[in-house]
Amino acid sequence: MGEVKPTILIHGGAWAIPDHLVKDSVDGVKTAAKVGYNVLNKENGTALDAVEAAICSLEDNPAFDAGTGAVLNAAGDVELDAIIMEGKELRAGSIACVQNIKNPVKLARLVMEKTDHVMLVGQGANIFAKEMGVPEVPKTDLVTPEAVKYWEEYSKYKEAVHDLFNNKIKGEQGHDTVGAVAIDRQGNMACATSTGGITGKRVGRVGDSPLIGSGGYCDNAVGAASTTGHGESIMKVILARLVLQNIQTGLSTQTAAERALEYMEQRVGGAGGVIAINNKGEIGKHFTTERMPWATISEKTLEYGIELKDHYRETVT
Amino acid sequence: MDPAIIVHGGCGYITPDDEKLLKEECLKASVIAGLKLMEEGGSSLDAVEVAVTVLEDSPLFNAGVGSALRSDCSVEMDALIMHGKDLKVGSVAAVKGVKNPVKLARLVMEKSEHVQLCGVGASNFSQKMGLEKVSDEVFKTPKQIRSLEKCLAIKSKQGGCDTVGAVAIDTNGCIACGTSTGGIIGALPGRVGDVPQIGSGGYADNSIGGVSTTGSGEDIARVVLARLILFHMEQGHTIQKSLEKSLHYMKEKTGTIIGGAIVIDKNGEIGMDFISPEMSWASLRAKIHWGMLATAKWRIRFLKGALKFGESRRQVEH
Repeated sequence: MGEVKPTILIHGGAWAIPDHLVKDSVDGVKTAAKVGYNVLNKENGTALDAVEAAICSLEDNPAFDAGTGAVLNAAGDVELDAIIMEGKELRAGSIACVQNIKNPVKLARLVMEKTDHVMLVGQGANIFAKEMGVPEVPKTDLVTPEAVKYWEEYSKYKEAVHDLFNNKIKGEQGHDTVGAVAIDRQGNMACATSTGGITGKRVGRVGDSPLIGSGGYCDNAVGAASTTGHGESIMKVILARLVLQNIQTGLSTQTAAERALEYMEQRVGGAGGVIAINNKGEIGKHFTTERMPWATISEKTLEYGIELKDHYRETVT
Repeated sequence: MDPAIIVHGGCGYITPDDEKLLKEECLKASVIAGLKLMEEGGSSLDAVEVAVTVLEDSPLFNAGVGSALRSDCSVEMDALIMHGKDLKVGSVAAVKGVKNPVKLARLVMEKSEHVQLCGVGASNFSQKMGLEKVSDEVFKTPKQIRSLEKCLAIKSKQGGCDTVGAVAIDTNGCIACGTSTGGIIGALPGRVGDVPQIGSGGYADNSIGGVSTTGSGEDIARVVLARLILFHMEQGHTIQKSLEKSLHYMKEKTGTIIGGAIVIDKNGEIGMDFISPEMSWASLRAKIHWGMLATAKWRIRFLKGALKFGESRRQVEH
């Protein structure tokens, strides 16, 4: 396992990202990749610490639908979901529908490390946060003008909410869940995903992100995956676990990701995106929406893109 | 296709002698209700809903009435229902005040744009759908209060993993599954285990089969157990082999011995297995089979038209 090059791969959500958000999205995933890679590069840097740091960077970035910048539910509130999982012992932690927490991925990690459970939701999750000394922030800290704009459009067209959700299958509304997968020098792997969900979702709606196997999955024996896109479709096919199953049957990480998304489209009509890494450090990324910002760093090379055809490269110092 | 149904009443909880017969009767009533519905033209989805409802309404099982109490003495329940044709699925997590969470899970599937609702949002949706709001007191049976007190006194969770579940296949070959639970005794409020995690508490896909699981919820979720069993079946393993491989994998990776699952495959074959000392179950096609205990080497083999298993088992016991 000593031959593995530490590698991190980030996504900033698969959806029809409008042109005016492209630069911020690409900059955001590049920054998150650097933040994560700096952790991996340390002598005792772990994949788990790396994905947590990278996701925190994306949660703090108002350009993404996670933490600050999360979209609003039907009641105009922010409800956040997140998952984190490590591949050595298959430990996982997740939270769903937690409110007024700046970094849900940190809370998910506390669930994994400080409780006997894997998932806490709603008010119970907020009580736990208080017990752990995680500060609550006012809702206004997390809400951006963009999120309010989407919510007002949703409220105006509430009668056509069914159509809005159908359109979501094509990724026309914000799906910028954020995610990260990583492998460290010891060959240990981790994944994490965080989201504010979809604009106008029912109060208490849980999407794919916090569900083990749907929003993310990780197993040192196989790989790690994080997903984004139409949550309900992802849950029906348990997309992250499916990607790993494809890797287990001998497919390359890239083909595993492509086949899983093809299956989701064909079986349940859903669109989305996947990032994945196998236990040799080989990455795969694919999306069936118009755009998905992604960035990866391995050794001293940063690669990134947002359109399917993109493959930009930079050297990092 | 001859319709068939299998249900479980959970594993990991050693049923006291005075409850054994009562549990068996309730499990039999559950499969009879489910099969009857399918014979009258109902779908496997209807059958699993009614079968799980029968178990939720019994205080003998940790689901619906009889749900385990959380550390703050409240009751929060999880449920999942899934249809194998279009992979339609509905689930609820940490919902309060609903007598039949599996019914609510079905309403999430059929009357909302979502797959899962939790907490207060789930309770609000339940009322909007016209389901009766039930106070916590209805759920606080003397047995569960005693269990919580014992658990808190020794500062440990006693498990109480008797989630209930059902898998059915109807005359059209459509498969459905349903799982429902009150969670583990003394769990934190807001704790969600495997049940509402799609692929862990259950999964159904007409092209492979349907599964409902029970056991240590966190460990089931970490290995996405229901989907794992179906992955093995997809690769050509028998139901029995798939169950054995998956349950032993879970034990190896997580250390738990509290686990079990029931399965029906796309050809209508029924199977079940468990690595805990006990899992109560019953199945019905032409004949009714049921059981509870496991000895070290004992496994059930399901044969078409086999003997009435329950009777021969009792002969072995005595």
